[in-house]
Amino acid sequence: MRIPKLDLVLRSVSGSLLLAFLFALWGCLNLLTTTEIIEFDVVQNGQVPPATPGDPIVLSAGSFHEASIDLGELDFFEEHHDEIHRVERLGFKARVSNVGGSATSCSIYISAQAGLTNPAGEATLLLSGLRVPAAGGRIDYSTSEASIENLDKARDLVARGDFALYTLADGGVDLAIDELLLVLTLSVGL
Amino acid sequence: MRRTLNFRLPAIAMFVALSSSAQALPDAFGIGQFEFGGGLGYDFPLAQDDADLGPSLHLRTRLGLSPRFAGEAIFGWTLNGDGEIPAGDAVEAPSLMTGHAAGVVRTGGLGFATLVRLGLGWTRLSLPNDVESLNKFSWEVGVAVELPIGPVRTEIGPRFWVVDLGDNTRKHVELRLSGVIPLF
Repeated sequence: MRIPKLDLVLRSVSGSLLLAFLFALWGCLNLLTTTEIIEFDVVQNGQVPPATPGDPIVLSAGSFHEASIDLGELDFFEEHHDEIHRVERLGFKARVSNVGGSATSCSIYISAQAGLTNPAGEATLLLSGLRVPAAGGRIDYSTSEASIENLDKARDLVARGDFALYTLADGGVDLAIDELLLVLTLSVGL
Repeated sequence: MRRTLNFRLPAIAMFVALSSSAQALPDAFGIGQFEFGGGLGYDFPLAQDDADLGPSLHLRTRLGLSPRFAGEAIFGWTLNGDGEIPAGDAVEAPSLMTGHAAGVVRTGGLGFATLVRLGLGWTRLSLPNDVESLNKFSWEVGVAVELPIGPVRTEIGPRFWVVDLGDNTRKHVELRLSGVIPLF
C-alpha cells in the first residue's frame, strides 16, 4: 500500500521540480531580450508605382497616398523577425512642404490590405490631426507618438511585417511630404 | 608639512566620530524594530534603445525579524534619460514606479555590514504622453555595504532589477545610496 503513495509523492515532487525548472528556464530566456529602435523610410522604400522611390509623397485635396510597407527590407527586421516579441512603441518623423500655403493637418491610416479605395472608412486610424503650419515644417517623433491612436491594433499589423499606410491631407490643402520615417521600438529576444 | 596636518586633523576627527557612532549602533537588526528612510540612486537601463541613464528616488521601511534578517517595503521612482532614434530625434524614456517587498540578510558587524536583498513586487511602466501604462511583476536582487553614520544606517550598493512584461523584460542596474533611522 505504501509503494503507490511513495510513487505519487515522487511523481508530484518531480512534477513540481520540472515546473520550477521550466519556469526558471523561461525566466532566464526572457532575461535575454533587448529593446531596439528601427526606422523605415517610407518615401524611399514604400512608394507604390507609378511613384518612384525618393519622390515626395504628394497629397492633393480630396486624395490620399498609399504606401506599401515591407519591413523585411530592413536588415535587422529580416534577420531577427522570429525573435521579435513585441512592437512596444511606434511613431513617425516627417518633413512636410505646404504647397497650399495655409495651415492644415494630415492623418495616417494603417491596414493589412493594399489597394483600399476609401481608407478613412476601411483602414484603422493611426494618427489624426497632425498640424502642418502654412510654411510647412517638421513633425518630430515625440509629437507623433503622443497622437497615436489604436496602438494595439497597429502593433498587430506592424508585427506582421507587411502592411499599407494611407496618408490623407485634411482641409483640402495640397501637401508634399519630403521625408516620412516610420520609427518602431521592438523588444527582441537574443 | 603644516598644510598636510591641516588636512589630517579633520580627517582624523571624522574617522573617530564615525567609528564611535558606528560602535554606538547595534550590529544586528533589532527584533520588532521599525525603521524608516529613503535615498537616491542612479539607474543604468540595460540594452534599451529608448532609455538612457537617469536618477531615481526611493522610500524604505524596514522591520527587524531576527538579528540577521529583516523585511522591507520599498517604493521607488525612476526617471531615465531620453533615448534617440537613428535619425536623431529624442525618444522620451518610459517612467517607472516600483513597489517591492524584500527580505534582507545581514552579515558582519565590525562597524560595517554586508546586506543581501531579494525583492518581489510590482512596477508601473508608463510611456510618455499617456500613450500607455502597464502594471507588471518585477523583482530585484541587490547587495550593499552598510556604513552607519550617527543614528542613520547608511548603505550603498547596486541592485539588479527586472520588470517582466510577459514577452519581454526590461532590465536595470541601479546604484543606490540609502539610509534608515529607527523609529520605534
